[in-house]
Amino acid sequence: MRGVIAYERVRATTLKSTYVFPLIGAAVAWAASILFIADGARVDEVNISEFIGQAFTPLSAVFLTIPFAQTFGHEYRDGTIRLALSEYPQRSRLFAAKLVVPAAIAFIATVITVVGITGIALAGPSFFYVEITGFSSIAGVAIREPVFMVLWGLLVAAITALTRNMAAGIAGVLIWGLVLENLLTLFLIDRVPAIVDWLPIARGFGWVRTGDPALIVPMVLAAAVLTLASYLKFVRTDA
Amino acid sequence: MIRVAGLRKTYGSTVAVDDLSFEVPDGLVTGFLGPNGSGKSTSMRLMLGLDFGAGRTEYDGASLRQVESTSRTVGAHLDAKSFHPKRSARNHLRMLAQEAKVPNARVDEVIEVLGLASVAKNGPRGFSLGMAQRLGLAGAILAKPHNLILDEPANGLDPQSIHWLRDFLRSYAAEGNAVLVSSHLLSEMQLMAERVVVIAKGRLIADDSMADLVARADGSGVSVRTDAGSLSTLRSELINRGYAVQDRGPGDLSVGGATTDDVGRIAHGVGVPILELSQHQASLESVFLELTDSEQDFRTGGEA
Repeated sequence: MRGVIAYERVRATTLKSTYVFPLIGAAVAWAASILFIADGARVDEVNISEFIGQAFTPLSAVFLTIPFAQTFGHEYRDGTIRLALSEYPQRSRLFAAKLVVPAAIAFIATVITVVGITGIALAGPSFFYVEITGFSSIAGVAIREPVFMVLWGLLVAAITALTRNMAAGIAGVLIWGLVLENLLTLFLIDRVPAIVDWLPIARGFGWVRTGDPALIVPMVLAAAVLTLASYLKFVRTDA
Repeated sequence: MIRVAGLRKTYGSTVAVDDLSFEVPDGLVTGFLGPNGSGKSTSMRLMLGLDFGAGRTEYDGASLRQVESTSRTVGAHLDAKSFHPKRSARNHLRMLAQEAKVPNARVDEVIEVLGLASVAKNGPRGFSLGMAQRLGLAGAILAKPHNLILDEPANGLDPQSIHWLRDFLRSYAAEGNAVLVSSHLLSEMQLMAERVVVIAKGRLIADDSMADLVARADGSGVSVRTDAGSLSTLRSELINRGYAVQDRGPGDLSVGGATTDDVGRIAHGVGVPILELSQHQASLESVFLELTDSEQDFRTGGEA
């Protein structure tokens, strides 16, 4: 297993885009947090969990999780998947490595982003009339946010592996979160009021902000189902 | 040694590979030939476990899933441009080196051997087809595998590079390794391979040594010229001994399936003077066309 992890690590870390895209995601979150803190001047007091949760927009999530799309998308696009599968004929291990390595990258990148946002929160009151409160709860959100990014990334990876198309994986989850869930709510809320409790992305964002464990269940289920489907396709179909 | 047994692959009702069995012995370069769409690439993918189908492929007596290190067991080069366009050639090889824990020194050695040193730090986006083939071959031999599977490695190479590839593969095989190479460059294959496996429509057509295959083909034999008065005597004697004899002109015969030694001795035995005696061999190209003539899926038309 160490060999296949090393393969994935070298595959990912020898591309500039592995660093550039998560950095863009972090920069977007930092920019959003600065805008939010400036806007917070009108509300005087902002809770740190809410502050960090608000700073991570779907746009940040897209960039922070691009390594998940690259792990399958690049290999199928460039044909290197055949080299990888001929070296690692036990496909389960390769599949696992293809989730573990980008998960580590997304987790670390998100933690760094959270640290940056916290720094902005600490510096904020020097520049704006706003008070950031609740710093004692920062550890919770600092864990929840990277976990959320990994779950988002698993959805990206699964859609990319199923379609063998990087753009489909990246755009698919974004459209799911921003469009499909809103449309479902719009059209089904009257007939199925409980629909709002089962929207993976919207509930996931809620979990990051509040820490209520029930809110993350739909996203965990969605990630598990799609990951299983992509795993079955990966191990059972021609390269 | 690579042992292929009963490979079969279907796409719906189309049979791409049909009960294909052959061996690639150690110490030799084995050519893998077939018309377009004959199933060569599919067979290679099946052999490497990239595609799913029936049959079994063993490398030195074990399947790929059983060996300790796949990279040290078999090296493969299937597509000329299987690499990320922006990852440097060296990093591409470092990535492939992980399975067998190949040290960076070996990566640099292979880069040197394949003539890639000047471009090792470049992304292969701008590589010519020949350069890309070299990088693919570098990846295949990185862990010094005992078996090599190469799909059209000579495509895009200039004459010097083809000459180099031929020498390289023959010397790699001479070290006791098994080498399977597919190619459409039949004249080159005739110089490179010592054994030939020919398939058409997914089925095995021929599996023989290059020399025997060519010798058995129509057009291989001996040209013999004698004086006009002795011609009938020599013709009768050769026919009596079971050789296929054709008249080529006044005093000139073509003797199929014979060697110059055979014909010289027979002529001497019946007292016929020999004015000219030469061996003529069919080319691999003519043998290939003869073998696959009825098996072409994609036949070209007449004159344009």
